[in-house]
Amino acid sequence: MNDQQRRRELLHAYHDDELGPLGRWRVRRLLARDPASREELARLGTLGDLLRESEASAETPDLWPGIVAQLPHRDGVALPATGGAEGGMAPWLRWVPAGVAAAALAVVLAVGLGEGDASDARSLRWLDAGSRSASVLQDDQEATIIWIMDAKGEQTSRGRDRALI
Amino acid sequence: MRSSRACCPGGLARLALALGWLVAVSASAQETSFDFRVTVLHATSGGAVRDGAQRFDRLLRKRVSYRGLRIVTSQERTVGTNRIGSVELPDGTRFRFRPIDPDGPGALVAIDMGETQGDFRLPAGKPLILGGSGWKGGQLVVVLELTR
Repeated sequence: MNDQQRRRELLHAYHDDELGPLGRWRVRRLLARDPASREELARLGTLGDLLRESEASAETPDLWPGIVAQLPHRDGVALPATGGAEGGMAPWLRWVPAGVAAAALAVVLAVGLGEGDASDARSLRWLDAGSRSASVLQDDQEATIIWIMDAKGEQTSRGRDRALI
Repeated sequence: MRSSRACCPGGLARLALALGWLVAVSASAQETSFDFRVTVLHATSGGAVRDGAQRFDRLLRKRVSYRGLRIVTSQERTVGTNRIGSVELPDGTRFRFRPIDPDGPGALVAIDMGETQGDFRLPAGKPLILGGSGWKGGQLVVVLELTR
């Protein structure tokens, strides 16, 4: 990856708020001294605005009235013209999605809290090894061990969490 | 006249108090400092683990394959928030670190070593070990620890 590509990736990460405090500080320094980077960041902002506008303007068409018109009707029972499939749902079935959502939320919260406890022991917040690659050999309560590979990646083999000297 | 004379000393005192409070608050915010120890090790494919390096050997042994391990230098630095601590490594490069957030356990520290940059939350006593820079047939290992 050359400098220009790295700079572009850095600006994208800055624009998407993915950088750590020092990363943001570095980009701000870069922006202060490099007009090309400022233009690039402005373009990213414009592109984001355009995407948001197109998402907002792309309304999902309501096909339900057309579907209702083509469905065979039972005598004396008319399907509502709006409201989608929910109109034909048994009353007790309406609680099923809510129950499923509540159960899913409970699972997410339980897993999330568990991960939160585990991630508290981790020190690594953000890492950029430039043109080299880095391997996190350990990051727990005991120590954080980061190994920076040489250009040929000879120090560790892929898939192993052990460096070789 | 009397009332203005009477009010001025009180006003000045309040102003002085406010200024003193501002100075104290800003000074306490800026003076949060941390004690770090930076230990530079040399890991080699030959030799033995030297005296003083056993503690690091216990940490590294299960993750890194080597035979020899010795301490090249160990230095202590007291660094304030948003100040930069720096240690020159034997290969001529510099290891820089900067505490950027004093809140939470330990300190959030930004590090800069050659091409490598990163942010780490370092509680006291938990070492950050960065290895991989080739030097004299082995590799340099930099250990950053928050001691206070």
